[in-house]
Amino acid sequence: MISRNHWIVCENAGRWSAALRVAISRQATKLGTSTGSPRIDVVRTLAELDSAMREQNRSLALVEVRSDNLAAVLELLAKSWRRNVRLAALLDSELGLQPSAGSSQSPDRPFAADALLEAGALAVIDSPRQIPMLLNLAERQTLAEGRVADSADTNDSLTAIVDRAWAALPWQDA
Amino acid sequence: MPRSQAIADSLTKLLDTSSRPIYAVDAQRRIVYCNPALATWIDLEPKRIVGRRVEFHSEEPKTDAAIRSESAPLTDLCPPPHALAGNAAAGTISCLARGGRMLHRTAEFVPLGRAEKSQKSRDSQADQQFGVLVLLASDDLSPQELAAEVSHEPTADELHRTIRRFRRGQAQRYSIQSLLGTSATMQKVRAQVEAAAASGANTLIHGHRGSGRSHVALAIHYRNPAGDDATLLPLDCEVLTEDLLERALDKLRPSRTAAVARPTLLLENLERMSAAHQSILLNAIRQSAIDARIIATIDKNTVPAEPEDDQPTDETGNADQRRESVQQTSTGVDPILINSISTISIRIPRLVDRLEDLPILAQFFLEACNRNSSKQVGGLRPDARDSLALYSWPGELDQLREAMEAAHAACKSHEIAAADLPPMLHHAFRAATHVRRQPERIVLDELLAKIEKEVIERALAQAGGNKSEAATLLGMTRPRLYRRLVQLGLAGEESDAGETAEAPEFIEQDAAE
Repeated sequence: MISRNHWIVCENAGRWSAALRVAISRQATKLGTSTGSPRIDVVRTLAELDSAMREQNRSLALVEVRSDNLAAVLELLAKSWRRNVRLAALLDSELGLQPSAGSSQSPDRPFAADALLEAGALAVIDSPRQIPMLLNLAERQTLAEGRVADSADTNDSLTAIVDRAWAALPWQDA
Repeated sequence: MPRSQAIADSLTKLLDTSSRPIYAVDAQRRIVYCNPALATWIDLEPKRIVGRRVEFHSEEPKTDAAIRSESAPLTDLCPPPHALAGNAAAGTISCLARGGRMLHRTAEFVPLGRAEKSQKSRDSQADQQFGVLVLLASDDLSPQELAAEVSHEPTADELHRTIRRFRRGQAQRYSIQSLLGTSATMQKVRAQVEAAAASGANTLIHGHRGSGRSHVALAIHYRNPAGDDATLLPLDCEVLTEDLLERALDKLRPSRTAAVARPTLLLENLERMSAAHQSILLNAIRQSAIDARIIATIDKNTVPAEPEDDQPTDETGNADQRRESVQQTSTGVDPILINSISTISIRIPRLVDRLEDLPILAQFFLEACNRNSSKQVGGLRPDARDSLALYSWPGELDQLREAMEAAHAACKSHEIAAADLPPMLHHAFRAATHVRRQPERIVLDELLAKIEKEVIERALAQAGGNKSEAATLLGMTRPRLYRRLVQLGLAGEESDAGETAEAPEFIEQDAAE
């Protein structure tokens, strides 16, 4: 089951969101349930994505990376990591395909993928064929967040009660 | 002074401060203004630039001497005809630098003419002449970028430059100075980070979730002597899949080319790594199948089990036996894996143990809120600072950041007051304000009953008076809750008439069970 219920995709052509919808639908059919399938919203600019991520901080964000927005995506990823918001990168088919200028440098596409991972991308995929891996990761991420949230909720709900009870207990110096 | 002159003076002052080279050309194609950044770029004093013509073609040879003479036209600074005809445009501007090297920068050409052109004037545009404001980029173009600019295609070099620029930004963001705090413990952490970065040794960072463990790890990596070339591969063990781990290890195989800088593998939340993944990683480390410096973050409470005295402490020969005899740690991390990563061990102090750092950290998060908002909040009032200090901060720095974000949003003045802080801090403050009592005699049963009564009342309030739901919240059966309500004298107050009538039946039924 895919448990994150809101995905925000930032892209121009609509190619990735279509592929995601197909993959999600296939997975839901395979599991025989449509409950828990994420809703997919599409935004066109990184500013819109940033704003949507601030409003829906439990969402999974996916961004199409092209040559012209690589620097901005790297910055957004770095910022998101500090806010504990995870974002996956979807490589555009044209990114970094031109020949490298120096022979000592890595081929450009993996180089860009490495930089995106370094900036904190949850995953970097460059083909719709890799979407199932992304779904798997998103599910794990949700489970992990659930564990943290449960633990935080338990702590939060207990804090006030325990504090009050503790303050009422005698022999505070003991 | 006429108003238009005052505006022009203000604009000139503003343009003078820009780091981007900027100049203006009038309708007669003479430079009427240039800012200091342009003078620096073309290495000529402003007085040798202003007043000179810009032409596309010059009979005079383009030499250093010709450019430095005061009469020759500055052909390279000429905007394109399209821009001189009154249209906004973009392009490239070049200049011959001292030493004969050509420099190139992208430029925007902003027409300076009447704001609105009539149809008639548009029709006769060929006869019109306009001034142009030229704004150059901050950095020179490389030959590859210049070629790309001409062909309108990005280059491979541009991509590499983008990534290097990002890494330099990260290095600034995660500098040693970004590890805020003047407490002795934080000074120690900074010294350890310096040592870990300089040595390139594997490093294990202990700390509570939210304490900034990843920040410390990144500070170590980005202080790498290899600089922009060293790559970082972060893996969150909590969401790690075998596929991701295998891919990562594959990337970290020893390189055949000596020029590549040693990468860093960052393992976040090591305590969450599955036993199978630990085994794969440990094998890769033992067999030297990866060539990377490993930095791992781990929960502070994760302490590897100490081997028995009669157990061999080396990792050769008896390693498997030792692994069987020394059980995995309480949080599931193989002690051998921990040992192989913890060449340097850094312990991040809890926020509650370094309260002297709290004001500067709170101010830091507040400034971050100010940067992202039009609302500007100057600081915290003393009562707010006291409230912060009285709280135990179980969520560490992450929780402090969230608290400051909430306080920034709630704040209605230029300073955050205690009332602006989240409710949780108020509870803690109230708890802390209970005075310490003199030793007294108590009746334990009465005290426990009092606490139980309080908790049950809260549960009922939480459940909106619904006893079944309250019982679920309290982890007890409904009949048992009824029994306790009766015993604590709450049945009359809390039950409605129907439920009160029903209660004895439940109690009896429960008792019969």
